[in-house]
Amino acid sequence: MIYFDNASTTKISNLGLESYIKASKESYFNCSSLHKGGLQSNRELNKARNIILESINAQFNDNLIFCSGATEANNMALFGLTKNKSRVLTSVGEHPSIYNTAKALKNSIVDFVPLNSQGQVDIDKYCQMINDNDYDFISIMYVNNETGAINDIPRLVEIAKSKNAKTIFHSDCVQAFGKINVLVDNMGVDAISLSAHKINGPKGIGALYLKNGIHLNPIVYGGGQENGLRSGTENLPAIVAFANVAQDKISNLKQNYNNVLEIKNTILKIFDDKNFDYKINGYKDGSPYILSISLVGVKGEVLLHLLEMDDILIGTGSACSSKSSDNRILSSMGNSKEEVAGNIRLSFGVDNTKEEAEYVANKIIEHCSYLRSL
Amino acid sequence: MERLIILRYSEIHLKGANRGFFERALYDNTVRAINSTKATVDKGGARYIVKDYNVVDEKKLISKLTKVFGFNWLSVALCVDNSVDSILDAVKEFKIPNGTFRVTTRRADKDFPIHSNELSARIGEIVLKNNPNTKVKLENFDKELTVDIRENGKTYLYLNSIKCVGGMPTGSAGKAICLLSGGIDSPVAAYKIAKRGAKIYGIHFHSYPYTSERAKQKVIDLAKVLAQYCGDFKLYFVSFTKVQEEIHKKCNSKFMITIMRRIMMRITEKLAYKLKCKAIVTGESLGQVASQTMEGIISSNSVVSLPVYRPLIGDDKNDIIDVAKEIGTFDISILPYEDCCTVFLPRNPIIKPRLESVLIEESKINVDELVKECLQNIEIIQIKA
Repeated sequence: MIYFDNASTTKISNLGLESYIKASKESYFNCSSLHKGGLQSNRELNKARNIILESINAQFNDNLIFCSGATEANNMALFGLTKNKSRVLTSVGEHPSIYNTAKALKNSIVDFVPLNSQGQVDIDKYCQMINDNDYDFISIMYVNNETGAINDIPRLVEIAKSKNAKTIFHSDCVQAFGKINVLVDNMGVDAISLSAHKINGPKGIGALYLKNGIHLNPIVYGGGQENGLRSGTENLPAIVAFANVAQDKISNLKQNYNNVLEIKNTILKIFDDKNFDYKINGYKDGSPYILSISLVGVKGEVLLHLLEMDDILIGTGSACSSKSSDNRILSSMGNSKEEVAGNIRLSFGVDNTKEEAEYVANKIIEHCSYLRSL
Repeated sequence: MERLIILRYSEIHLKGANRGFFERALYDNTVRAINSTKATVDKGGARYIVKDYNVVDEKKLISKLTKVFGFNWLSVALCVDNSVDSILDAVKEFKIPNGTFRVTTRRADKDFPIHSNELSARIGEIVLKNNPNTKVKLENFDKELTVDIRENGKTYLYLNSIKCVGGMPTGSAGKAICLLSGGIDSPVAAYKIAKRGAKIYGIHFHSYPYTSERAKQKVIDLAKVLAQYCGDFKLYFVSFTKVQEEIHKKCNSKFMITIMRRIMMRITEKLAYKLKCKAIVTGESLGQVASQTMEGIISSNSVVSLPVYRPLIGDDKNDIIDVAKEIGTFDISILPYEDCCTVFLPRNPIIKPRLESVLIEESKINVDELVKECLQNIEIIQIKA
């Protein structure tokens, strides 16, 4: 089977699985327990926390709150970092866990900045909105999960902070972390969301990074774990596995990047060599981990099923929202209805090879020629 | 003192010499409905009594029994011997909510020593004593405590009656095959015909890879909801991909849906004869979509000789949705997976197809061969309630 749907989730790596099993067997104690087992687990927890904080170049006094995943981290950010009557800015291109959560902020005024044709936040509109309004909280994703488009976060932060230094800037870094450099000091952000299962870690674990001094109101109350910011017994095996896979990804960042870039370029070269009619959503120099294309005259879902018969698994848009017929992100980029309907998303991971890319590219061409001939 | 469930039928009363046939069918369906519990069923006249069950299963039993076609009402009752003391003891078990109530005593056992009105009065006193915020009201009351003194030496006491689905016992009206698309209408149509006593079979046309496995799963999930009412049934999956491709390639696209419907009807009828079904059921509602016009229906009807039941033909969409919500199919039906009709949907389907034009278009494909091929590649799934 060829798995080209890594942006929706990844297969857990041996390192991740072994770390998970080891911690489950040896550090199963409750981190809050007073006995020596609890102390051992608590040390493992803090070690894991420091590994991830180091991997994003955080300061020693910054905070990292573990939670059930990026959806929860994004909810924590939006509900916990805004106040009554906050002015909030986010983008049309955000993952549903930001977009829909922002819409659910009842007592805040929320604006959505549109995207440009390449899938990035429209910088002119962004400047204009910053200029016209006084935002308390901004959330802009680093890498778009559907198109791989990369937002220039340092620049967006600078624009926002030069207008109002107190604006809290959060970035959903789920599709960036472990794939491209996510360095909070360079980015200038106050908060970022991370997830383990997009980088061959276990599902059900994520984290919200908070810069020192950023005050978060908890949305989950209980036993006061995670400094009272996210109650609930810590999922230590998943946390340890998350830290280990994150460390591994950061160590091999460049090599992994080059491998997936070769995969993406291989596919595009075959398309071009064979004069295949396609359109990239986003731009060629976006994240190499994601390739979103529109194939006019083809229904993305039908192509997905034809490829599935060849044991090739791909995505159409975001897996979380592919059940809905419209596509907010692709439409915002100016794509026609036909281009949206003909969208597929190939997303790559460390296990993929150039040979797989060649096979898949040729299969796509073959099936599209058939579908277009109907 | 025993807890049990009393069920009552209504329409079967209207039957004459063949009433026993319907009662036996209802009894068999009741036994099937409760077979995952330890409960047993007794039949006595127009009542069926479900008993010997574990009290923790009571809610599950109620949920299952209210969905058995043929019953109109059910009540959870306490059963005691026909003695005044036992009856008065049992009354103390009932918690009557604040408000008004009445006691209705029915004394079929004429040897019972106290008259109905006198017993009702004595029971009323106990209720008033044990439930201080209640008041007796003989008309327009909130609750009615019924005391049913039977000739078999048993008295049944019950407070509330729960409405059941009604209809006629499944299987009592013969067999029918229902076209299930995965949309809102067809499960409701199948439900309505099953409710009138038909044993149903389902047939679904899929167009993988133009439709997904999820679309197929959706139909299975819908069928499982239907099976809660009409019992286990078989669902036939027909691969329709080649038919759609052939029509798409060779016929005027305006006639796509019309010709598709005609081929679906032919396949369904052939299967119906094999299964000894006496009717085909569709979810068509007049004028709802382009293929459901009078002309469209003439066109699809003309290829079959079996009767086609269209129980929704005069219903508004909102009425159909209300039933779909009531029976529990709506939430599944609205999942957005494409069913076989939408993939090759033409931009401008013909609304009033003339049969002569349809025949000309249809002659461009080998209908008999396509029907034969479809019938050879049927997947059968046994749907269990």
